[in-house]
Amino acid sequence: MPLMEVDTSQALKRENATILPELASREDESYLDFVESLRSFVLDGMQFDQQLATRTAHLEDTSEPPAERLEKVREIAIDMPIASVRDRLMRSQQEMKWRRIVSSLDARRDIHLDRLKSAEGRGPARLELNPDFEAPEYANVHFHLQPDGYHKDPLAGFRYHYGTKVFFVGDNDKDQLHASLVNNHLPLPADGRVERILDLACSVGQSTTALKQRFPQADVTGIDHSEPMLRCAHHRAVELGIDVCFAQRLVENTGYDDDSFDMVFSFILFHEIPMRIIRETLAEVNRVLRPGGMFAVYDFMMASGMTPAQLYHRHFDSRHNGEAYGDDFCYTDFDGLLKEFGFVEAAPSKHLGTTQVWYATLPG
Amino acid sequence: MSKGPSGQTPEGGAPLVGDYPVYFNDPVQDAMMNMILELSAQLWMSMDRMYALEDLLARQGIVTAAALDGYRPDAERAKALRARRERFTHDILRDLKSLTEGAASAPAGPGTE
Repeated sequence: MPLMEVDTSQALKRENATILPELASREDESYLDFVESLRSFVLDGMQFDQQLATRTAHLEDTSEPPAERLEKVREIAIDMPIASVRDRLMRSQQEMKWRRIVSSLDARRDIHLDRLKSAEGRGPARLELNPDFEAPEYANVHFHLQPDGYHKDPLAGFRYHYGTKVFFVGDNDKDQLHASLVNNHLPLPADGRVERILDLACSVGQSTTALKQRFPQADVTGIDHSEPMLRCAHHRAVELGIDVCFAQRLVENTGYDDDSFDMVFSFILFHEIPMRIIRETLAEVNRVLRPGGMFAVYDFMMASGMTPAQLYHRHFDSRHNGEAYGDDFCYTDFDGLLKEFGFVEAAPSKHLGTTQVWYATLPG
Repeated sequence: MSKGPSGQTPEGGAPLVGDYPVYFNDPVQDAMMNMILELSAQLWMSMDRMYALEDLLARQGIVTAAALDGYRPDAERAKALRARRERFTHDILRDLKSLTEGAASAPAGPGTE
C-alpha cells in the first residue's frame, strides 16, 4: 500500500522530533524515555567515573602504554561493587532499548516498509542502490547490540535512528549534534572551494543533510554499505526536502574518479571497521580527494590520551557493546596512519568530549 | 532480542561476550537487576499514561478522582486487561527464562568476559 493511502492518523509523532521514526504507541515512547533516563543515570547520575577516577589517579599519566594502564584500571575496578552494577546497567539499558524499538517498529512493519518504498523515485534527494551489491563480511557485526546489525533487516535504518536518539539521551533529536559538528568544527579547504562533498558511511544521513545545509551550492553524496540505512536516509532527506545523493558503495572502494571531491567527511566510521579496511579507506580517500581538499575525521579519541575511566569504558564498549573493531582504531596511531597515507595536517586535531576530530589535506 | 554473533568477530577485532553476560557473582543477581529495571520501565509507562489520562479527563471535566477509585471493568475490558497483565509479567520476568537459556555463560567480574 503506497504511503498516500496509509492511514497515519494514529501514528504518533513526537512533537520535538519531526523526523524520528514513529513508534507504535505512546507506551513505547514512555518505555524508551525511561531507558533514556536510565542511560543518563548510568553515565552521570551514579558518578561511577568520579569514584573510579579517585582510585586511579595514579594512572592518569598518559606516557605509560594504554593497554598496560587499562589492565591496572580493571584490576582496581574488580574490587569496586559499583563497577559490576554500572556494567550490568549499561548492558541492560542497551538490551531494553533494542527490544522495545524492534517490537514497536515491527508492530507497524508494513506501514514503515510502505513508507520507505513510497520514497523511491521521489526527490529532491536521490538514491542509488546497487542490485549486485554484497555486504562485506567484516560488517557482519551487531554494532551496539543492534539486532540483525546494520544491513540484514529492512528496518535497520529506522532502528538505528531511534537507537541513536536514546544513545544521545535526547540531545540529538533534531540532529543538533550533527549540525554543530558540521557548522562549528569543519574548516574549509585552504582555497575555500567546496563543490563536491563525500560523506563516508553516512548511515541514516544526518551528517549528509547537515553538510548540504551548510554548503547549499555543493553536490553532497553519502555512501554506505547498508541498503536499509540508505533507504532510511533517502526517505528522511525527501521528507526534509534536502537535495543530497545516497549511494550504496564501500568506503574502501568507492568507485569515484580520482581527485573528484573537495571535501571528505567521516563521522564515527573508523572505529567500526577492522584495521585492514581502515588502511584501504585511507588509501581510497587519498585517491578521491583532490590536492588541497579537506579530509575531516570525527571519531573516538585515541587510547593514548584517555583517562583511566575512559579506558575502562572503551574496553566495555568493545567487548560488551558490540564495538568489535573499536580497539583496532583506538589503540593505533591515527596521526601516523594519516601521514603514512600521504596526508598532512590541515588544522590541529582536537578533542570534543570523549571524541576527537582530525583535519587532513593532500599536498598540491 | 534476536541472538547476535558472539566470540571472535568476522575479521579480528575484539572478542565479544555472548548473549547473556553475567556481571555479578551470581547470575540470579543479574536477573534480579534486570527485573527491577524492567519493572521500573513498566511502572514509568503506567505513570506517564495515568498522568496524561487524568489530565485529559480533568481538563474536560469528565471524571473525578472518586469515580476513578470506584472504577470496575466489564468482562470484555477485564479480558483485555488480563492479556496486558500477562505481557507485563512476561516482560518483567524474562530474565529468569534467560537464566536457563544462558546457563552456559560463565560468571564474570566487572567488565570481564
